[in-house]
Amino acid sequence: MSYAYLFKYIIIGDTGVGKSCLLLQFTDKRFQPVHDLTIGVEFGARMITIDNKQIKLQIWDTAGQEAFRSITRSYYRGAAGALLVYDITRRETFNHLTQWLEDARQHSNSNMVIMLIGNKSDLDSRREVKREEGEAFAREHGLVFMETSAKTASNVEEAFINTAREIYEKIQEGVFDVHNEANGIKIGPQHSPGGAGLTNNQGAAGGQGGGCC
Amino acid sequence: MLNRFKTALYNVVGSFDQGEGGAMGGLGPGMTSGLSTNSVGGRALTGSSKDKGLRFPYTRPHLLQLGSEDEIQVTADHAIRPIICPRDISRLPWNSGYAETINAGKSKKNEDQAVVHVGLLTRPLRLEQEAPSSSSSSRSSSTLQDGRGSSTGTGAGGIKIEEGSAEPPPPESPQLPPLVHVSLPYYIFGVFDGHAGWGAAVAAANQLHHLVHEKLCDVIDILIPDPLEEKLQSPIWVPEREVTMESAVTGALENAFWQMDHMIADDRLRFQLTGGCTACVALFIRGKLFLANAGDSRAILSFGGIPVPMSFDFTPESENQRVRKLTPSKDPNRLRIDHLTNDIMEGDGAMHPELLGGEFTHLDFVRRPQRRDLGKRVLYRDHYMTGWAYKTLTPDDLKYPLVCGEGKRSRVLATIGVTRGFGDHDLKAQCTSIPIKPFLTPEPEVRVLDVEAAELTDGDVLVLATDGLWDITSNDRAVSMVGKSLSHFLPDHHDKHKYRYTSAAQDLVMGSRGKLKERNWRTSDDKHATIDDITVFVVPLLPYQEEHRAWKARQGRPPKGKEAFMKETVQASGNGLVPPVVPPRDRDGLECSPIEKNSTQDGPTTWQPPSMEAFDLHTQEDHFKSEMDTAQKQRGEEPARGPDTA
Repeated sequence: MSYAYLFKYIIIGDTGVGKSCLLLQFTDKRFQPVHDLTIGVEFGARMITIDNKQIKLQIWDTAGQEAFRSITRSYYRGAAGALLVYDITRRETFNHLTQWLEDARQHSNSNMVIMLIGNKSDLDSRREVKREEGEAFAREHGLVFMETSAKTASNVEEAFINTAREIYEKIQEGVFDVHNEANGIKIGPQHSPGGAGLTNNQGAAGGQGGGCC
Repeated sequence: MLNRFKTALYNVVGSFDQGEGGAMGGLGPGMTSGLSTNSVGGRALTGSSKDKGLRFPYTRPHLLQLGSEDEIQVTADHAIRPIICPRDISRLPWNSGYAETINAGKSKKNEDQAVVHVGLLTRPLRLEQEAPSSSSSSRSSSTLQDGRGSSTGTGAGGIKIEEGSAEPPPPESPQLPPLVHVSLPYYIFGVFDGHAGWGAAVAAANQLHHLVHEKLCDVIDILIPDPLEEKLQSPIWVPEREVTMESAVTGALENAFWQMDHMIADDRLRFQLTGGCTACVALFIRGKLFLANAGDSRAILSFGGIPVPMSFDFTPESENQRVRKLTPSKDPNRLRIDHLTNDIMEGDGAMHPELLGGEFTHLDFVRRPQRRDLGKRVLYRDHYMTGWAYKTLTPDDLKYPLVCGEGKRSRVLATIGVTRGFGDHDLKAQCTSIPIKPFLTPEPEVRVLDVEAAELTDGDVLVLATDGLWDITSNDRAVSMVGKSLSHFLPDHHDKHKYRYTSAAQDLVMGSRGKLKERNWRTSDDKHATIDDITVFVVPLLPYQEEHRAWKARQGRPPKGKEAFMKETVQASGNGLVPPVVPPRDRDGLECSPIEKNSTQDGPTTWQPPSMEAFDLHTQEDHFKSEMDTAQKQRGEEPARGPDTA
């Protein structure tokens, strides 16, 4: 399916905050209460419409586990948007935000749009982090903030789409260089004369004879 | 430039059945399995040879379970080079680790491929009832085994009674001992490093394991010997040479490798199938690990924290002499290459100077001679020499050397950097019409490790990887990295413990891929990282050992007369320990071969290897897909592990 732009996202945050569930809710509209540990990186994709333009979101869901940290860091680069997720029922996941943010800022391009997400808003009775605290943190660090529930799907669409909208605006303002793929933005096939119409032809892909290995 | 990667439209994917290459029968005698013998049908032409369709569509290894084109595209992000691992690691035997990453832009697609295959060889045998107290009684009593090697008997586990009950044998053969199906599981892990296109590597990843299966079936009488047969034969007929199980498996692997290459030679005439690939394949069977390698991928063991090489890197440099030996002759006229098979037709010994096309010299010089050296004495060696000698330089010696360069930069005919593997049938030396294939061979070197006898811990692993890993990471470093990765996962973290081999595989890939600094990929100690594709397996050895010992104990009276085997079996099962009686698995909803279905009726006497639960047990008829589907149904059930019986 053709699209005007492709935006690359990453989802980061402590293990167990619901990153994979947010992705699943957004791409498949379903909730999986028991989710295996994400190892390394997972992917999801969905098409959305902003300003009458088809935009494809390619979402990289990373492992929260410390053991995989050095690997997940390398995915920050080349992302146009990031969802930084904590769990409103676990204070320590909120406390680690500074570290996540530092990591993200250090390894990503400076224009990356970061959305702060307090997940599991359906578990209000077990809440350990107040909404105001999230808002304050976001304000302080220049992030967009939202509380979501991957379980009830509350605000999940909005989280992904608002991030996309912000990226889109930055493109309109000329902040993002859309021709540099390292920014996590790709112009869709119909907009890019050189990239269209490639067929999956082994001859073209591999080349025949000549320098190999 | 790295970022130039453009999205290709994978518009042909889906038009072929992934498992199509699977059924290519030719079952050995005595085999009973569901494997289709319709070998032609399996490789039927899907179009006329004129419009040459793809033999196989491009894909990533099935074990990754990448479902969509989007995902396959994401794996091919040359700028990020994501490290990809299987979505559901329980699909790999023993929670083995796998990780891969794509090159930094040198080819559009990841030309590495990989395969994991779990198979089962089954042979129906009429096992003799030696004494009333042994197998027949254990069948009816169905519970106790007296610990003698011969009595763990037909009731237990891998040996399955067709009737599955204590009823008398079938009426038509009242005199014969009961027919039992002896099943032998095996496991294949393979990596294939493609070059000059991905066709050969994808073909090998889709087909080689089926060929191995077929070749193993051919020698099933050696892998699962019939005790009756031996008894009949042994007093009269003495074989000239003893054929061991090891040599039969080795032969099966060698045969499969050659046939794989021939299939590619054939298929390329009718399909688009380009490029070549190396092959490095680990086969676990009968308590041993067989490592067959053709090319410059490498397998090592991390054994007690020490690297033990399981393969030899075949490169132009290391195969310098073999390659040069092919060419020298004074009489080139009567030789030709069969262009279909690329076999060198014998005519004048095995020496074929015409292969050099008059443009290359087979002589090796200490340093490349130059025109001004003409008439001088230079150090050289001929194909029959390992050492050096002097000769007077002639104009002929100024031709380009057949093998040149050192290490990773070594080349045959100034073109190709590998000397063994599959494919490359149409490859020509750069800027010439000289075919390269005659210098290449699919012949693997096979090494064997006795896993059963080894003293193992759960830190002992097989690391199987393409050269992308080894170009940067030494054997020593790989072993220490694996040790460090595994130590992050403590045994008491049960839920996370299973990720440790995957984590190790990822860390290895990460170590060689490094990180992008400005425009270069650099390792953590700021050296050049590889820009090549990287593919890594980390396979623990202990689970296979445990599984094999349990399998052997279940065989009870071994279906073989070999004394050594008897002795081992007695050791394994004669210490009073017998495998626990575990209820048969719930196989509802699973496709099973009739044999397997019957076996479930054996009641509590049937005991399947527990760690097989997560895998497919009917792979003879598989496509990889159906294998995966089966595994999916089993997903989430962490296999219970039986105690080590030895």
